[in-house]
Amino acid sequence: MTKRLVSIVLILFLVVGALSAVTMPNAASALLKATLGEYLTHGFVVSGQSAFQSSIEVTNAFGPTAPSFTYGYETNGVGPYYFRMTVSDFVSSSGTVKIKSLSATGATLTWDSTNSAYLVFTVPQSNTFSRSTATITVNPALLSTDTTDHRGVTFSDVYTAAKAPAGDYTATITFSVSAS
Amino acid sequence: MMKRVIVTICFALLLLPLMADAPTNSFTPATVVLSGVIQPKDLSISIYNEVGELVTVDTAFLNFEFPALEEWQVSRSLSFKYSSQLSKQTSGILSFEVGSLTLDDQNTLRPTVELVSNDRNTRIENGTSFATTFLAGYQEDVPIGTLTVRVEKRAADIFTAGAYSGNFSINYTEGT
Repeated sequence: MTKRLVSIVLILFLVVGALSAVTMPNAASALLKATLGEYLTHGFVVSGQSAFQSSIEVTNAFGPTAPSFTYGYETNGVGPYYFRMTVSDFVSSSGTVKIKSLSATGATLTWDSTNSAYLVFTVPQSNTFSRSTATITVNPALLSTDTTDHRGVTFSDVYTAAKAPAGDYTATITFSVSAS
Repeated sequence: MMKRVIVTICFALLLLPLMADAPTNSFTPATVVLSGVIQPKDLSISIYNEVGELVTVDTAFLNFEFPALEEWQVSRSLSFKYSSQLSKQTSGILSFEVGSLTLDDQNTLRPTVELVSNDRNTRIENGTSFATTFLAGYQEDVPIGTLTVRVEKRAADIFTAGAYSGNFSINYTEGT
């Protein structure tokens, strides 16, 4: 009886001891890492297109409604980024028509004399994510009385659509991005 | 050696995230081209009388009143101007043919014609034509020249009184 009891007790101690010796594993964890790259896109907003378009054409620039277009950018990059616009006159094989004025909604066009361009957007160094668009309207010198250009320079009325030689005219407006 | 390889691989793996961080930026300029058309306006030539009034189809005649004198000379003038908006300059010739003023077969007055250029781009050819260079661009009422028709009676001439009539023609020939 006593031996049996001792045995049982011993067995119990062994089992309990064995149970006491099991170590619960630590919680498992997985470390997930990802890197988000910087990007910057810019261009023109075109109906039906989700992405900015790098080049477009606007026709009938001498019509009753002044030509306009929407330009924008999107970036998650750390700035600074400067978006500038350079403007050319309308030219044909035989004449020139000046641009009387420029206007914008969604941005302020500031003349940058160093770069001979208009500053449209500025992305600061503190940028995390930004997206902006601006609609820009170009007013050609149509009437013979439109003799001051968008920079305030006076010109002859032969550079108006009323008095320039007949023909097909084009003006090119370019948007560039730089870090300074 | 193996340790070096392992270290190199690990180093490269560590660098990969940095390379992947290169921004997917698009600094290519964006361009918009605006296009417009100035339609040409055809050349039109206007005729004005001596008082500067535009001569129309209804008023396109020269009226002479001969004085009741033994000798007299009367003249009437017409001025020519052009308007246009051409893509490039062109040239043309305005030529005139003035007929006699006739009452009947025995009474005929033969006028003389004199042309005067009113612009440096117009020269006179053969005494009867204006050869003009029409400039490109907008041109409004640019002078071409003046035509004068002169009728003369000398004392020895005898003409019956009455209404004499004649005509003159103007032809335009386009140059190059």
